[in-house]
Amino acid sequence: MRGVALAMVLTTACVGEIGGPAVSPPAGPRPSASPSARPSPSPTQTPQPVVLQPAGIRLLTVSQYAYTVQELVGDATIGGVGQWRSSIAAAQGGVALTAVEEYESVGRAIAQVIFGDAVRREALAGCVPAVQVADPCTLTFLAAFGRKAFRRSLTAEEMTRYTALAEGARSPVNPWRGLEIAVVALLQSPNFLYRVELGEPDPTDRTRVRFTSIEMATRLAYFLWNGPPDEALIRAAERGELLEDAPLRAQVRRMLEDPRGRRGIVAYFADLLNADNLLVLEKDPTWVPGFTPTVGPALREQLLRTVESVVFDGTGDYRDLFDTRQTFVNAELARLYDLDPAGLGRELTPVMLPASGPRAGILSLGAMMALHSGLANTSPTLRGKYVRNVLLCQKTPAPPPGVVATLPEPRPGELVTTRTLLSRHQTEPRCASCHGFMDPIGFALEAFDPIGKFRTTQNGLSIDTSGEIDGALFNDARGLGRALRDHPALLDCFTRNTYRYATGHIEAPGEEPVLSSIARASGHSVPNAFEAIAMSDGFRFAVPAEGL
Amino acid sequence: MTSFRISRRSLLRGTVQSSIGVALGLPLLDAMMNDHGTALAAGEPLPLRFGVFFWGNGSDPAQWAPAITGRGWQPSNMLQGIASVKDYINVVSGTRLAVRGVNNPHVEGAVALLAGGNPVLHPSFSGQSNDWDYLTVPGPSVDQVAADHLAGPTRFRSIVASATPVHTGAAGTSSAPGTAISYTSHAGPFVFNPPKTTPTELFAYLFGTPITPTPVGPDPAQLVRADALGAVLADARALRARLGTNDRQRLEQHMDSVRQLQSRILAAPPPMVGACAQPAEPSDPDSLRVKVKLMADLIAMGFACDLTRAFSLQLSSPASHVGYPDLFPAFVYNGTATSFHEYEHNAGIDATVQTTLKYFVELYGSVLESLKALPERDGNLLDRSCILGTTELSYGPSHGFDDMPILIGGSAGGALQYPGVHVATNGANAARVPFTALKAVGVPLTTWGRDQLVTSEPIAEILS
Repeated sequence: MRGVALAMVLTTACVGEIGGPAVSPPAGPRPSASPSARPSPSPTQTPQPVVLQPAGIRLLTVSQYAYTVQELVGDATIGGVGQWRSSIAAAQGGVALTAVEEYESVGRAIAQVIFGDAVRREALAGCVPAVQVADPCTLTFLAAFGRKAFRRSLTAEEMTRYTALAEGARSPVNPWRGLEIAVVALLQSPNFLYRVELGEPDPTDRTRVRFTSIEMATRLAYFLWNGPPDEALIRAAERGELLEDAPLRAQVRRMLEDPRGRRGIVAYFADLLNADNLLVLEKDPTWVPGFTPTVGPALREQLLRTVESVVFDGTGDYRDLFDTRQTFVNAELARLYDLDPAGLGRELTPVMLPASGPRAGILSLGAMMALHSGLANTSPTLRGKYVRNVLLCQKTPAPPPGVVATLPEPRPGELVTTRTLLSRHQTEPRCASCHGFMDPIGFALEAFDPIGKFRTTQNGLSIDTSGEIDGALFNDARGLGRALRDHPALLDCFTRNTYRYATGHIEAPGEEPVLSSIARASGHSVPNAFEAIAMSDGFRFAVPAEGL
Repeated sequence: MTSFRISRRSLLRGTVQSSIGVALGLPLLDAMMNDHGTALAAGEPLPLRFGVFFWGNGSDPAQWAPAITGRGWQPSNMLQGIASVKDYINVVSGTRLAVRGVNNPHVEGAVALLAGGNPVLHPSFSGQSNDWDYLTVPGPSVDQVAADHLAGPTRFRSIVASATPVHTGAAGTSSAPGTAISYTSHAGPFVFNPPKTTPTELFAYLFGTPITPTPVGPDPAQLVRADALGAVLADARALRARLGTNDRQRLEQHMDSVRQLQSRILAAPPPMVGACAQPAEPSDPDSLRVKVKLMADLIAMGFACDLTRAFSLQLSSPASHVGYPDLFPAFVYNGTATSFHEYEHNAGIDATVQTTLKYFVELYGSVLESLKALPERDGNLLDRSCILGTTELSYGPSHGFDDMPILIGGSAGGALQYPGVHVATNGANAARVPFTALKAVGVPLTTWGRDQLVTSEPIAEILS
C-alpha cells in the first residue's frame, strides 16, 4: 500500500485534533450551531461601525499564474506554478525556495520558447530589436509588455532598470537576447508575482484607504475571472472609472457575462471545495474497487461542471447545488454510478441522475466522498465535520483533554460497520458531545464508499443511513441534501466563504455590517453575490497596513 | 570551527544590492572559490555537516532506553537497527517534550522538537476545519538554523528530501495553509521547504550539473540569469518601502530565496577531491528501504563534494498515513486496510507495530551507514557530521511525550563523544538535545527555543 490518506479517520477524531483553543470555546459545552465565531448582529442591536482590514500584497495562486502568463504571451498551454492554490493562503502565506526555483526555471523556459521562435518573438514584440543605445524596439516592448505584466505602467526607474538589463544581455549575434532576459526578470518580479493592492488615502474618509482605480482592475480581474485584467478594464481603470459606482458596476456585469466569468466563479468553488486535491487522489485499489489514476481528475471535472451548470445554465441559486440531479459523466464515472456507459467515452457528457436513485446534489458526488474519506475506508466523522465547518461555517469545539484515543476494539473475529464502532465510541459521554454534532450527518453518506460507489453493506452487514442535523431528520443522502438546502446557516456561510475568497482574509468582527449588506443584495444567487461583493466597501476600501 | 568568518548571505545581500549587469562583487567570488577549493583539498579544516532524519508517529518508550548508561550501553529492542553504527551514536533518554497540549499533538511534537516552540496558527483559521491544517512553526527548523551557519560557499544551503509523500491535504495543494503537519524543514512560519521525494529528483537537483575533474567557472549565460535576479531584487527593494511590517517580512523572506538562487548560480563549482565523484543516476525503487538508502547515498556524496552541508530527510511526515510495504502489504483493522498511523492508534504496541517501529530506527541507521561509507581524509564523513534521528511523539498509540526517542549520530569533528554514550535523564527538557546538536557543529547560539521549551543548557555528558 503506497500513498497518503486524505485525512485522519475515526480514531483521531476525538483526541485533541479538532478545532483549536485560540478560537474554540472552553472544552465541555455543546458545540455551537450558530454560524461562525462571529455571529451576525441581530436587528435589535445598534448598528456596528464598519472596521475594515489592512491592504497588502497577494501572491498569484497557481492557477492565476497560469492564466496570467497565458494571456501575457498568448499561449494557452502554459501551466501553473507557485506556492499556494488557495486565495487566502496566497494572500497571507510565504514563498519558499522551491517556488522561487520554479518561477525562475519556468520563466526561462517560457522566454526561451518564445524568443527562440522567429515568428512568435516578432508577433509578441511587434518590432525587431537593434543593438544600439536607446533602441526604440527595446523601449517600446518593455513599456508595453511591462504594463501587461505589472498590470500598471512601469515607473521611469523600472524602465531604466529593465533597459539596462536588456542592453547588458544582448549581442550583435543575438539581438533578441536582451528582450528575452528582460521577460525572464519581469516574470519573477514581485510586481508580477504579487497583486500589489496598497490603496491611497480616501478623500471622503480619512480613516481608510481606497484601492486605486488601477488596483481595482487587478482586484476585479482576479476575483471575477481568476486571471489578469483585459485591455478594456485597464483602460477604464486608467480613466479613473473604477472609483465610481456606476461605471464600476457596468464593468462588474460585463465581466460576469464574459466567458471568463465562468472560469472565475468555478475557480472559487474549486478553492472552496479543495477540488484540486482530486488531481492527486490516492486510494488503495485493493480495498476501493474501481479506483484508477483517472477517476480523481474525472471526479474533479464532474464536480466543477456540475457547479458551473447550476450557477450559469440553471437558476444560479446556491441552494440548488445540494439537490440538483443534473450532472456530467464519462464512461468510467457512469460505471461508478451504476449508470449505462453505452456510447460514452472519456469526455464528460450531461446526464440527469435518476429520480429514484440514491444520489442528488454535490455532496453525494464521488468527488466529495473521495475528498472526505481515508485511503481504504470512509469516515462519517470527517464528512460530517466538513459539512459543519466548511458549508455551515460552524465550529467543532476541541475535544476535552485526556480522552482515550482508541476506538473500542471489535471483539475477536467480529466485523462491524463503521457506524457501530462510532456508536460504541459515543458511549463515552465526553466524545458523544462532538461526535453527535458531526457523525449523524456523515451517516447519511455511508452508502458511498471512498470514491462514491453506492453500497448497501459493509463487512457483510447492512448500512443504516438515517441521520439528523439540528433537528431535521433524514433517511439517506438525498434527505441530507434537502435538509442542508433549508438549513438556516447555509446562505450566511456561503456569503462568508465568498467574501473570504474575494478579500483574502477571514472577516473580522468589524466587517459584519458589510457581510449583512452583501447577503441582502445577493439573495440566493451566486452571481449576485459576486456582484454584491465587488461593489461592497470591504472590496473597495481598506485600512493602511501596520508599520507604514 | 568554520573557516568562514563572515556569512556569505549577508555579504551577498550587501554586494548585490545595487548590481545590474555583471558587476557582482567578483573579488568576493574569487575569495569564496579559493576557500571552497582549498578547504577540501589541502590541510585546511574540513567543514562540519548537520542532518535530521525524521519519521512520523513515535515509538515505544518502554523498549527504547538501553539498560545501562555510559559507554557500555547496548542497543535496546527498539535500537536493534543501529547496532552496526553504535559507536557513532549518543543516546539521551528520559527527556520530556513539554508541549502545551492544546493543538494537534503530532504538530505540537514536531514543532517543539524541530523548531523549539509552539505551533503558530494561520490568521485564516476560524474553526472551519482541522487545526492541523492551519499550524506552522514559530521560527526556522533546526536543520535550517544549522544550514545558515554551515553553508559557506556551497551550492545548496541545504537539501530537503522525503522518502514518502507528504500529506496531500496540506499546504500548497489545498485551501489549508498549515505546513507543520507535512514538512519538517521550515525557513520560517509558513515558509516550508518542500522535499525532493524520489532518488531521481534528488539526483537531478544535486548532480544535474555534473561534477567534473576540472571545474570551470559559471558560463556567461548563467551570469545573465543572475543579472535578471538582480533586477528582481531591485524591484523588491522599491516595493518594500511601501509595505507594512507583515508584508515586508513576507517579501524579505521571498527575496532571501532569490538571493540563495542567485548565489547558487554564481557559486564556484566544487572541486573533485577525496571521495567526491559524479554518482550514477539512480532509479526509483519500490522498496522504501532501498529508496532511503539511495537518497542517503546521494546526500552523502553531496557532503563529500561539498555541494551542501545540511539536510533534512524524512521517512514520513508527522502523523503520516503512509504504509510500509517493505514489512506488511497492509495494516488491516476491523476488516479494512488502514494506515500504520490508524493501526497503531487502534491496536497499540502489538507485534506488527513493534516491527514497524524498529524498522524506522533501522532506516536511520542506514543513513548513518551511507555517511560512514565515504572516506574523508583520515576518517569518514560521519566523523565530521551530526545527524539527529527523531520523531514527533514518544508513545505513538496515545500521543505521549515522556521519554522522547532522540538519537544523535556522528562525532561532529570530535565535538561529540566517540564511542557514543547513553545518558539517562530524569525528565530533562527534550529541546536540549537538538540544541546540543547545534552546539556540536559550532552554531554560536547561547539559547535555543521559545517559551516553555527554551534552553541554554546542552547535554554536557555527550559533548567531549
